[in-house]
Amino acid sequence: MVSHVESEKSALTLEHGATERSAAGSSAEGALDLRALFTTHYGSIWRLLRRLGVHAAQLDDAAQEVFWVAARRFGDIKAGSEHSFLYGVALRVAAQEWKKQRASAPRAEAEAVPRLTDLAPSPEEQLAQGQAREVLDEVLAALPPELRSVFVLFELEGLEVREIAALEEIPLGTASSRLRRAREEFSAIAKRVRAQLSTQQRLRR
Amino acid sequence: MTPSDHDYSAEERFERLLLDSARSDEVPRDTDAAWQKFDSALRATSLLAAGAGGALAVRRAQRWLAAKWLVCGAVAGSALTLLSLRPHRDRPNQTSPALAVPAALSASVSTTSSASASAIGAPLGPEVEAPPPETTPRLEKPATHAGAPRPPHASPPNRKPMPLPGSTLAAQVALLDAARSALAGGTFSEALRLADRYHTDFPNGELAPEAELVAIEALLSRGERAPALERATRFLARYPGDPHRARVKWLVR
Repeated sequence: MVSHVESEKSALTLEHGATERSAAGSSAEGALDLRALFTTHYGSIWRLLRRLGVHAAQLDDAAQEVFWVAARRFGDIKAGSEHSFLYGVALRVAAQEWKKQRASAPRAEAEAVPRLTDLAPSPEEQLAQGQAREVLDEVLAALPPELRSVFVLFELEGLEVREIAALEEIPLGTASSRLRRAREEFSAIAKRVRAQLSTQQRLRR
Repeated sequence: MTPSDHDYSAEERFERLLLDSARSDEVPRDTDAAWQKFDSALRATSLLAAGAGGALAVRRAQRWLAAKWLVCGAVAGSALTLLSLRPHRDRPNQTSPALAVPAALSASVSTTSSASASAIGAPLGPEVEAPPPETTPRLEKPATHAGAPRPPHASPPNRKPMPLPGSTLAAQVALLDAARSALAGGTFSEALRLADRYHTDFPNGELAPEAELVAIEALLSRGERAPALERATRFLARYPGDPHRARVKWLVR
């Protein structure tokens, strides 16, 4: 819980940081500079949101939303834990986006997984990098949200399970269990997608 | 030692290919431009934040900014008046960005601006009623509200991938998501209808086990144990290696 005084201090620091680039960052208290926070982490947060399944058209807004929250809660962010804080907020923003996406009309089929072109020996060899990325998006999207975030954080962001547990605010055992289930489901879905792609490929030959 | 490709099955190589495709994900290059937009929005709403926070010191610190914005508002307001006297020739509903900021600032206190952030973040100050503690990390409240100041819409070059015809996985995911949402929302009949529609629309769909699981859960939630058991039995016979088997068994135990 942030005290009243801390709230004031943080808000002042925020204001100062927003108007003068380095002043807050060089203060004796080591206060965080919002601009430094933004410029240092914006790219990684944007990429995390993309990996978590936020649609391309919403990515910029979602990333800004994360830092909007960071600005509001500036006093809560401890030096050295900025990344964790932002990751935690990004998870919640992504969860909101999933709900919005689910509530919106189903995506057009044009956004779907690519059809393999002919004469390739296997889906692995046939899928171009960009296409593989699209397929990955779809496979990740097929995972239940609580498994998807754990899987992305571990497999793509390289976080340890204990870090994921802290970010998701779940027990370590739950995080481990979710990761195991996520891997199983990811494998199962990927296997089926691969089989489908192989079938398409055979039919087109 | 890293295992060679020969140590992996074709399926495992496919998984690795998919995961590796994300390792080179790009990040936005123009962070400075993003910051400028963010900073502008932050300044525009800082008065509202101070009002919601109720910290007098913050208000004092921002008084100069208030004065600045009031001047800006007055100027922009005059401009608005002048503009309003002109005939509206095009798109009368469109709000000029130059006019939107003073309009937002003209509200003396607004809690809607803080609501957006507090939906995700922490309490904003002693005068703001703290949101109820969340039992899950998921959020129920939308991030933004109509009319509330929010971060700028940062020039989204729509990076939607090139259309690639002929596949249905995205549509499958959308339908499955809708079925899961209905299940989570307690509209079990709708969940069942959507799960069944999945099988109709995608008879060879890659996500058939997931859809069937939703159907089984929906049936059980409606108290229809017999058909649920029947479908569970079919599920276990049809998908021998599926990771959902344990859950299906547990559901109908």
